Amino acid sequence: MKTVSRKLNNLTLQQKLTLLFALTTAIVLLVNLCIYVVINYMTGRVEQVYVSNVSLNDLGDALDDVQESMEDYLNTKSTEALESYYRSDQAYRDLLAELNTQATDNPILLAQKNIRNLSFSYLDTASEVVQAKRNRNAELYGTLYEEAAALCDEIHTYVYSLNNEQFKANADTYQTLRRSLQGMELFSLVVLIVVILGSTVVILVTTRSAIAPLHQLAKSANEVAKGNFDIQKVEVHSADEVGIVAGAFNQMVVSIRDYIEQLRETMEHETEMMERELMMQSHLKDAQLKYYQAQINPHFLFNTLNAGVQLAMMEGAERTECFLENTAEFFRYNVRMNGKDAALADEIRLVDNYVYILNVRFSGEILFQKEIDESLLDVRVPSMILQPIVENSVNYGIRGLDREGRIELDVYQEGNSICVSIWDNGNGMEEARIREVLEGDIQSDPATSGSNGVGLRNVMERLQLYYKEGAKLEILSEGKDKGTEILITIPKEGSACTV
Amino acid sequence: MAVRYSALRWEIMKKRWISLFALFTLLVLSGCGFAWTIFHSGIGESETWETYERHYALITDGTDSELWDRIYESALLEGKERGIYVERFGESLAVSYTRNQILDLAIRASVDGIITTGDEDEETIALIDEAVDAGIPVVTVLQDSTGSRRQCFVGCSNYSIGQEYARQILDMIEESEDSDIRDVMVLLDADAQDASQNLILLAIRETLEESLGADAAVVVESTAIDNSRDFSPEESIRDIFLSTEELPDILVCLNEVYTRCAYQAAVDYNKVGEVEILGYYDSDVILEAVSKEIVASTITFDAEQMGALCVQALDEYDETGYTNNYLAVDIRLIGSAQAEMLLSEE
Repeated sequence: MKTVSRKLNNLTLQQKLTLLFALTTAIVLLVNLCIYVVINYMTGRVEQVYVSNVSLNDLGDALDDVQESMEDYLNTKSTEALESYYRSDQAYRDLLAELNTQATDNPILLAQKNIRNLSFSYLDTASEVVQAKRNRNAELYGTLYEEAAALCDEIHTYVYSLNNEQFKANADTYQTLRRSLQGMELFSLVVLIVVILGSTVVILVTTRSAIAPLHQLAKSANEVAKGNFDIQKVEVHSADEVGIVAGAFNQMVVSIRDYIEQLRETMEHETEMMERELMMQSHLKDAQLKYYQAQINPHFLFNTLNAGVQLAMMEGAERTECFLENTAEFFRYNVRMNGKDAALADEIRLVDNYVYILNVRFSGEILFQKEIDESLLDVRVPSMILQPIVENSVNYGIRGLDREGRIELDVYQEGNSICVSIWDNGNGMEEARIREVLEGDIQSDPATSGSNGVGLRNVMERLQLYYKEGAKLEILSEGKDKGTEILITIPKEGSACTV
Repeated sequence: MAVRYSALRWEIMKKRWISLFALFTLLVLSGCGFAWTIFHSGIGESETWETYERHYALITDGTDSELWDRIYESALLEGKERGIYVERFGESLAVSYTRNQILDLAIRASVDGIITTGDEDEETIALIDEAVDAGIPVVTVLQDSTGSRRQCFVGCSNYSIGQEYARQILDMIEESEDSDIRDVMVLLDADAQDASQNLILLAIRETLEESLGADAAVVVESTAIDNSRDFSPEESIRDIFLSTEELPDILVCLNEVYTRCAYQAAVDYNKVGEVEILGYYDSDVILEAVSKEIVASTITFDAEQMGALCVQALDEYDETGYTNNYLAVDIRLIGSAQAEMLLSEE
């Protein structure tokens, strides 16, 4: 059933409709054929009804032939008459051979048996008549002829009676046939009407099932036309044209939906990009504003400090003059070098200024030593890379140290690299701590560190941005209270981009 | 939506298959209908019949149709049980042949046995002998052909019947207070050539004489009813009723037809009670008449036994070559009470 159903589904619409038409036509044709066969059969039976009567009439005629030929022979004694007698005798015997010989309760068959036996008796008598005639025994053949004639009449009566019986029986059969034919006509009519109605129902149901997906498709197409792509797939299991169209429609809806989704995503991305751009611009503006605000203070500060320097010079306070000059120079560097690279010498001088200021502030607690390869002083490096490291060494390394705090700055060349080492004899760092700092897990807080917001991490990033992968920052410490060394290795031919 | 459509599709599929199935069923039913029409119209059926080993002919003289019907029915039944078909020979022929003509036909038709009413006519005897010579055993029934070489006679004792009639007449005389019964008329068949009627008449006379003495006032006379033409017995009997002088006190009828004719004439001419009728046989009409006391009583015999005995005798002869020369059938008298009982039983 399922296989047949699947095969039917795989037919094209044209094949389906053709099959349906052929099927219903075949059914009607079959019913008609059945009706014709039955009617033909019954008509054949009607024709056969009276055949038995005809046979009996033939029998009677054959008997007459025997009797007439015998009479003719008796009259003329001619050879022709004798031959005719023998022929008719044989013909009659042939006909008699077809009659029933058995005792039966069927009156017609029993009558046949009686006619047969009577006829043989008659033929024997007739034969005796002919024989007597041949022997010219006039008296005998006269007697026998009368006997034969009487018997002939009796056989005729018998045949006639049997004919009547058969006619009655045949008439009954004929009536039955007529009634059956009338019944057949009515029955055939009813069957035809019912079959045609049934076929119509099948056609209606089948065409409806074939067209139903089209309705569904049209409904879905309307939805799509209204802009609603959020529709379920039109499920058509048939492989006909409707199935193909439905499949294509489903594919089209999916493609359109995907395309719209892609378009939407692209637009969202662009919008987001634009938003980010706008935000960046906003931040930039904000940063610039803050930058300008930040610029005001150092300028004001180092101008003020310059004024202090000149005042100290006029008053002859040399130490105050030196301190203020260092301080002014430190801040000036900050303002001047903001976002630019600088010569290594300038960076070292800034460290000097910074250490001098700290020593003035903290009464010379920090012993700062440096060993510089003079040939490397012109090397360009990102600005503000050494001072934050020294500031870290002061803040985390030697501040609060019981012994004398010492910081050493070494600049030397090692192969094609320039090494800048800032070493302190402070608290030192454990391996885990070093890893955390290098991986950026611990952010230095400007508020707590006391620096001007430029931390170690910032230094690392700027070095990487400046030198791509060519720069390296290492933190070396042998453990707690063993001091810390920050070693910056940069290529000798460093790139000179601005960070 | 897809689910709904799937359900809809299933419904459609289901409907389609149901429709196809219904159509197929309809076709099958139609086929059955066609077959039914053919096979029940009778035209497709081949007529069924039984075949038998032997074929006996029952030949009657055309009178007492109901009696012969009963005899024939019982003979037919008995025959079928023995593998023999008994045909009522010449019955269905278009021409009305005499009994002897039919007898001749039966001989020429080479039947296996003949049951026929007999008489003492030479032609009848000759035909019976011819049949016997042709190897066809013959049983005479009801009336015998004593001069023939028939194998067996099955019938009642006519003398006993006569005696029974006489006893009825004596009873009537006794019941009659003024003993005004003088005339007893016995209706005889003018064509009958056997001795049966004479035996009955003789028995009546002898029995009455024995009881009443030779000088008794009761006269038993016989009237020969003309049976030569069709319907002539009825005319002859009506003539008796029309003639006041001939009208007897007791009318004895020796066959069924005479009894019915006499009964009808008595009613038609208002002679009921004036003429006492002694009937013959126990057909429904006669029983009805007896129960109404229009016919005083009737003498009958067992027709079924008679028919069966005929076949038995022939069969016995066919099987063994011998049979009884005479097989008697019981007779009985039916009065009004018995007639009523018999009718109610029916």
